[in-house]
Amino acid sequence: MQPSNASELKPHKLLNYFESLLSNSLDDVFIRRIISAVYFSLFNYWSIKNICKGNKGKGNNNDSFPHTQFIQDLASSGLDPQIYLLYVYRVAVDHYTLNPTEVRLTSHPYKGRTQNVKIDENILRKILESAKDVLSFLDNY
Amino acid sequence: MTENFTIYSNLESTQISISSKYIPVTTTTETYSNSIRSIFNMIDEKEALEILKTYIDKDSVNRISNFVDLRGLASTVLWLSNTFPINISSISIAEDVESSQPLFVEIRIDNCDWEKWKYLAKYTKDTLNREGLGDIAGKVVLVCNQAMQVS
Repeated sequence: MQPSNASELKPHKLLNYFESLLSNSLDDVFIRRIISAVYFSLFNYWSIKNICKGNKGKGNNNDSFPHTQFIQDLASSGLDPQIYLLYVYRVAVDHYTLNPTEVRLTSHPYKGRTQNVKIDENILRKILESAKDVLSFLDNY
Repeated sequence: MTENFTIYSNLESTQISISSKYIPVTTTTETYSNSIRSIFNMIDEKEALEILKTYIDKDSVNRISNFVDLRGLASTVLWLSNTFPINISSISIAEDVESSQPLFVEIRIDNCDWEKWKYLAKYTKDTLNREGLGDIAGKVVLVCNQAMQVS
């Protein structure tokens, strides 16, 4: 199945909806799932943009793109704060249970640096702002 | 014949010697800070490692050098230190927690807020891309410690 255009996975409406939920006393579960959804909606949008540009991913339909390339594309354009914040909190909400907690962005046994995180509405607001910046970049990608 | 350059970190100033064969006669210190490429062309891998060892934990040197060009990384670090009034506190590698693949090299910076972070990142990456060091631009992420602090 070939996508006709990238609009099939545009996350603009989803992000606007999440913004409308701010200040509604969202609980930890809501905030965690929203942050994860924000991150992967951007990743999906970036992936379909690649397909539309003729780039090939892995899999039978060449539609599986590496996570590393997504981050490196954004970092290359200078969106370091936005992608770092999004990535660290995406790891926190999907892989860590306590809140606040410390996220370690390594899988190897040497002592890697940790990042303190606190999952709340303040950070959700900042993540949605960052996602909008990423979205502006991806719209013209 | 060698010339001495002072590299400032938040810990202490470190002096390294760079063979004069890498230094254009007309180049000034100011010129170095304006071009990452000119620093890149001036240093070899050994000198790059000397510059970086102030910031990198020795256990992660091999992983970083397998992921990113050390001369490119060291040039970026030196240029950042000379161009902006910032302190670089550490350099480490981040890996994807699911695939264990290297994701990016973190250059940790003190004394900057969110807006300054955005400016630093954009200016640095534009410079890297303009000077033909796009690989470094994608593999290095600037991280401002204060801006990431939780309230």
